[in-house]
Amino acid sequence: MKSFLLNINKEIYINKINMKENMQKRFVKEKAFLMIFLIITLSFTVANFEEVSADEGNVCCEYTSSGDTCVYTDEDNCNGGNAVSTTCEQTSYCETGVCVSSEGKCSDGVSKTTCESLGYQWNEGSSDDYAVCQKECCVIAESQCSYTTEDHCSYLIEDLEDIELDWRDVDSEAACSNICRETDKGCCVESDVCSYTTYGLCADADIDLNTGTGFYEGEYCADLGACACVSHDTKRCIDEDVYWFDSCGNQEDVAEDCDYLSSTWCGYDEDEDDYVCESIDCEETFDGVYNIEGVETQRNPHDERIGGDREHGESWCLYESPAGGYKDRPGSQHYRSYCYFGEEIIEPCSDYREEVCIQSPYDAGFELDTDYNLWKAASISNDYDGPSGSACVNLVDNYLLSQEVATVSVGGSFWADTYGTDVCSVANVDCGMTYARDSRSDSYFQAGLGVMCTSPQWTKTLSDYCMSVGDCGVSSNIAGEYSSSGFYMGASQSVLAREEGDHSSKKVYVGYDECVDHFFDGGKYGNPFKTDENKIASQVEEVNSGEQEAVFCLYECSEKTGGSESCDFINTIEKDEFYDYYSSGEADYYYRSNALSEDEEIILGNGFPELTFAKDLGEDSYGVYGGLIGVSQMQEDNELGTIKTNLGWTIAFGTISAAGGAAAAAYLEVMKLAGREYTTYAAAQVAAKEAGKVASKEIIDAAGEKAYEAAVQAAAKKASEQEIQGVLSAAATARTASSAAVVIGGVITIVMEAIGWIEIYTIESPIERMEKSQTFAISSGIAAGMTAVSMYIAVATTGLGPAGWIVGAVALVVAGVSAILSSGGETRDVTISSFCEAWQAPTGGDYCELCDVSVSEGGLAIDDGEGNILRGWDCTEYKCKSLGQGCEYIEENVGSERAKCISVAVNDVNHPIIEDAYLLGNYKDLDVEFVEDDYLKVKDKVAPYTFFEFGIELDEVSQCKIEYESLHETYEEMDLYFPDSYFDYNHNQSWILTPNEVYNFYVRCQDHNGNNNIDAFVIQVETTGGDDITPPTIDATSVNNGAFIANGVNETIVSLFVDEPANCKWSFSDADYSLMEYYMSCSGIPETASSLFENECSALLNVSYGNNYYYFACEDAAGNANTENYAFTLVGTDSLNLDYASPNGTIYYDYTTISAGTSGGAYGDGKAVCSYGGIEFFETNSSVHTQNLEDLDAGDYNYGIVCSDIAGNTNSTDISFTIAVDSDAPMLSGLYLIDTILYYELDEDATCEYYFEEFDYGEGTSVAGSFTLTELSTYYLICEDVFGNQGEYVLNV
Amino acid sequence: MKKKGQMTLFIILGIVLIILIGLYFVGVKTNIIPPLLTPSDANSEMKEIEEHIEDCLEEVGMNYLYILGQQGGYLNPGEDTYKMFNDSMVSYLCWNQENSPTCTNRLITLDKMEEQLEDSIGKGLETCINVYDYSNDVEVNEDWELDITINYFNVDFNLDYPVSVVKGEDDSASEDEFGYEADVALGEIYEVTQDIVNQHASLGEFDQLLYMLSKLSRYTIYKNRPYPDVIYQVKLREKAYVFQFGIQGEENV
Repeated sequence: MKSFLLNINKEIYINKINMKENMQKRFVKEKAFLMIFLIITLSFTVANFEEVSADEGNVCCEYTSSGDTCVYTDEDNCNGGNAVSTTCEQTSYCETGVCVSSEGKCSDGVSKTTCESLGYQWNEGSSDDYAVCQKECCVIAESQCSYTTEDHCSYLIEDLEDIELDWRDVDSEAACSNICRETDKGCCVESDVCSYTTYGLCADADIDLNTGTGFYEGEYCADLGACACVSHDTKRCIDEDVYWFDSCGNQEDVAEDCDYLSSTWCGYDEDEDDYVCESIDCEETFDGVYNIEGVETQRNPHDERIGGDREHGESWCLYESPAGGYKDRPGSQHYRSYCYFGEEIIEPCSDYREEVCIQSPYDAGFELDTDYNLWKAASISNDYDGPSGSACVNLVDNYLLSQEVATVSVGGSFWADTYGTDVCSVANVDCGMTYARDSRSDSYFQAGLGVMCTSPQWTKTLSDYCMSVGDCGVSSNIAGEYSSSGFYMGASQSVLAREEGDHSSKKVYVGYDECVDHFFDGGKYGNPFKTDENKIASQVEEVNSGEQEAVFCLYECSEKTGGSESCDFINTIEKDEFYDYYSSGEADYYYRSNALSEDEEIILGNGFPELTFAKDLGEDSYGVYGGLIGVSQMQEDNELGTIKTNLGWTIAFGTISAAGGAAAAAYLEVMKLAGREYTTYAAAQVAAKEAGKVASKEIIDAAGEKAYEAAVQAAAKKASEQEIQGVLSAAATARTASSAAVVIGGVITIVMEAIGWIEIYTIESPIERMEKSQTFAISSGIAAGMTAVSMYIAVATTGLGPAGWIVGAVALVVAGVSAILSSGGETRDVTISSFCEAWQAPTGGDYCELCDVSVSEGGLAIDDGEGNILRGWDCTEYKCKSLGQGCEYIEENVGSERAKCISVAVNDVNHPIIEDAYLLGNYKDLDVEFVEDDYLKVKDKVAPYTFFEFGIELDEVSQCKIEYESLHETYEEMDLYFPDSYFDYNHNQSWILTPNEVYNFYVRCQDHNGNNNIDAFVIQVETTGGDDITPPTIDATSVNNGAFIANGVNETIVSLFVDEPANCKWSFSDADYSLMEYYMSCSGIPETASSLFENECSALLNVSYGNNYYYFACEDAAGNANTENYAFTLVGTDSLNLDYASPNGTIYYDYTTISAGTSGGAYGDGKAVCSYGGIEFFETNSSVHTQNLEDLDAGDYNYGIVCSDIAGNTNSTDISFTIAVDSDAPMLSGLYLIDTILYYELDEDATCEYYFEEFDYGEGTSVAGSFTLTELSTYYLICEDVFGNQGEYVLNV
Repeated sequence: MKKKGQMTLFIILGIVLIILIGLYFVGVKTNIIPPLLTPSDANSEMKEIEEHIEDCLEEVGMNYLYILGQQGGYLNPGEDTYKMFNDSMVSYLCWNQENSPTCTNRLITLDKMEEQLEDSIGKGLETCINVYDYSNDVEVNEDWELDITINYFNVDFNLDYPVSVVKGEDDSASEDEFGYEADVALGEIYEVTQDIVNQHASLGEFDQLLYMLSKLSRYTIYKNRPYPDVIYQVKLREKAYVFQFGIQGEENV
């Protein structure tokens, strides 16, 4: 940009130089051309004359073979054209006249052929006959003057950009030259003084050789002996440069040539005590910091030159809080600071951060990077240390850098009741999660799905999201006061592990804010924890001092008993340690926490959906970061957790099925081994049938009860012994096989149960574990049932051996117990919600006043380092409200230096205290006695009749009232405010005192809360007697001196206003006060001296026509009367006549002019102001008053005309007129033919057209009363009146 | 001896002469003796009247010029047409256009400013000018006319007010016109104001720093942001006169 400016300026200078050079060249060129042209032309003309007289045989040759024109020469020399044997003057082609060149110059006496051969315009006569040849003064840039024609003047400036035609009316070429001489500089020598000035300002510019007076162009006065001035006496500034001045104070040559483009300008250097070329750069700039968690941070962390020197014209950004990344604090504003002529000036970007400040290298410009919708300028590196440029860019209605892109949240009126609902609540986010428990392995609920919902990362993200939508959530204000009540997390139900059951010793951590809250006030939501306050206090202190980044508290919570929990504080941990705990699962239960520390980075752990930040696209952003994208995407990712849900069921069911199938298969195999394919029962029946024939006691015992019965029955059938033995053998085999089957099945069942338990133990997910457990309970139940059935069958048929009994029983117990223990798991859905509410300013109003205090003095106002607030900075309502809930903004003080932000805390019940009272002006050094908020007593007496000035200073901004002598009971009853009735810390007053009086001034002040001091502050001062020799002064009169008095008014009351108590008199003659005849009505001299005197004296003055002269004089209490009377005049006036008013009657147009005429009146010439119907005439304030009315509707109009003059003479009348609507077309009232001219007449005004054929009005030939006939034919005539009525006539001629 | 007596006599005469001269000056000073040589009463009174009227033109004129500058060219801004800023009614010279960064130009014309000044200053002069304070023999034509011209580099106050002091047939003086030239480049400042307002009306923004630099720092333009408006204060960099005006903004909070 700078180089650009340089170029511009160079161009300007070069243009100026070129302009001069061009003009000079052009003048030279023009002059040369003209001279050559005239020399050639005139020489030939003169030669011709000589030829005519010398040689009668020659001819006037239009063109000669040598290329000349109009030459009187031998005919042989002619070459084409005319050649006539007469003088050229007598030919038509060589007749002389005025030749106008293409450049606009006129030349007289130039032959026609000569002129036209050059392509110029030839005219008869002389240049005096033609307006285009009239010469006036062509002034170019006040430096060149040419006495020439207007066209030629235009030609001269044709190529000069930015120069407009300046063609001035002058009488002569000398007068024209003098115009340019006006600005010529030189020494003007007068009889007694010399001055370096312009020719135009030199009163007597003609040089008188005898006296030496006159104007000496281009000379310095010190160089002229007549002036006796010493050269190079002092230096001073003239615009940019340092100039020498002589001892007479006249300007001389340049002492130092300062160069704006090199950032130097003439200025006074205190060190050198002289004027020199000074730098206009800024040596120092604002370097204040703001606090983040106690850490001082530069106002623009992206610019390393903050606080350093800056070049003239350089601008940069300043912030009041972290900028971008949704870290802008409520109340903060972006500022653009710039260096201009050595002064740093602040330009606030629009409040509420509707505009953000962005910065770039000085000459980079700002371009949009369409890929990312970010400012390309924002991508410069931080290494850049050249000059910078900046701009305030609107976020609200700027399509380039909008709220969707920037991470600067637009602020708002967070203190309004609806702000949270209207703005912040959009950032409320619900996060679904599922807790699960199974009855055996985990007696308490554990988070299964949506674990992220209770993670600190998620909380931090939502906190950021909350802050991104406006002044919402958790943040510090611009004074660094932290407020966390605008954001919190909540659960739809309090199901967490502590609700029921034993959670043994689980470690719990809480975030920094919560930890600090607990430490300071027990936490907003109650403190269930026991804290080691001392330990936390030291940690918090470390954080606040910047030694440590953040504090997290770690607790260990014991078993819940009786509906309450017990958590013991373990330790404070730092951020990294906290993440270790979290990732290791050692402290896997997260208690509600507010947002983490402000400068906490987001750490994206495994299993958490990653956020995409636009800032990742431009990390080196200058002031503004990329935007946050994808909170909704994050929620979608969270839902993916449900995909895993049914996997455990499938695995569990398969395991159970396999185990059951294996057991069944094993049993059937055993049965096959027994050699029978039928059941044990059927085999027993066959065996018994055979055994019954030869039953013995052993067989019966061996076969059992049923076998015995069968054997008995079989014996009855006389079975053979062999058959019985066979059956018995088979039965024994079958019993052995049954026992084996039960043993094998039991062992398998036990093993499978063990495997099942191991599987359950190895599942991490509480939900999967719960689901696996539930499936396992079913499979265990089935296994137990199958074991029981198999044992029963074995016993009922073949019997069961001891091993079968033992193993089967164990398997039955194991499966049954497993089924019972692994059943009964459940899940519970919980919604973790973030609640985004309006950011809340800190309570109270302790910090309000910081808004109006400079940074150097601990406040917020950007200053020059010495407490002087920089121009452009102002405390705003937004800033004020952010400083405390008890802060009130005083709108009426905006733009002033008065305090704008005051505390109106509801608990402020104290009245304003007058901390100081002081005297001002002439009495400021008097000895006084002061008691705070009580009184100020002036120990010395003061002189009367002087302004006694005093002031008070309060501890808070207040309005103050003052009373003298008597005192009303309350502040409200007091009438008189201090002159500065604003809310302010200081109030000043002045009072005129009279002699020998003790003055008690009573002061009460009231703050914004309505608190006022019941006991008035008293300022006491006593006056001396004093010798009053000053007569009263008549300051003003109620009626202007020389005022006009209306005609007919014979008397009027006139009041005088005097500066001290006095009596006044008046007279028609300029008599001494004592001789004046008439007393005026005054309040007189008060019996007790008081400044509250009535300073008005009145008299009824007689007034007659013409000038009335009066004389006033007054006398004060000390007998001082005016020795010079106050002359006063009133002018009696003539009546104002309203001579005429119109229109009246009927008007057949839709327009008219109302006019009125006046005469007489105050000035005697009728000058007055008139109005019609209450509306002032457009032309009035004279004797003629007019008002044009147009587009009137048809109807009656009645207006009252009222005129009045300066004296109040009034006259009036009424006018009434009717606007009639004409709906009839114009009618021919006459038609006649004279020769070939056809005349027509109409019955009203109209415009007409005619044609030979039928036509539409507007397409014919316009005529006015007649037209010439070209043939006998039919003519069509159409006439239209002002109302648009058209009459058509066919004229057959 | 004779010579000595003569010398004594001359000395005494000299002393008497000196005393007489001294007494004369004391008498003149105390108005006991009228001065032998008095200036033309009519001319001196006319001179005082001229100074008085020109002082009035300066005092009243500069006062209203100042107010005009403080109030954005309007001496009596209408209701809702201004913003209170630093105890001044700063006129909006560009109306807000809803939902748009641009605004609607309502810049007052120079003619209108001249009219207002003529009207207000005229009334002010009525209370300020009192030629009768300076002469009892003054005749005035009360049909006076004030003409104010806002030029590029200054403001001209021309009062056509025929005043004559007639002491006698041979002692009179008269003056018809009185003038004062205010060193206020209101025309130039107006041109800057036009640039600012036009840019706001067409683009919705104005970069005062770039503008000042492009004009070789001839001007100083302060930009204040009392929400939601913008108040500009324009001045020639090395001059004190300030012209301030407002650009109306739109409240979004």
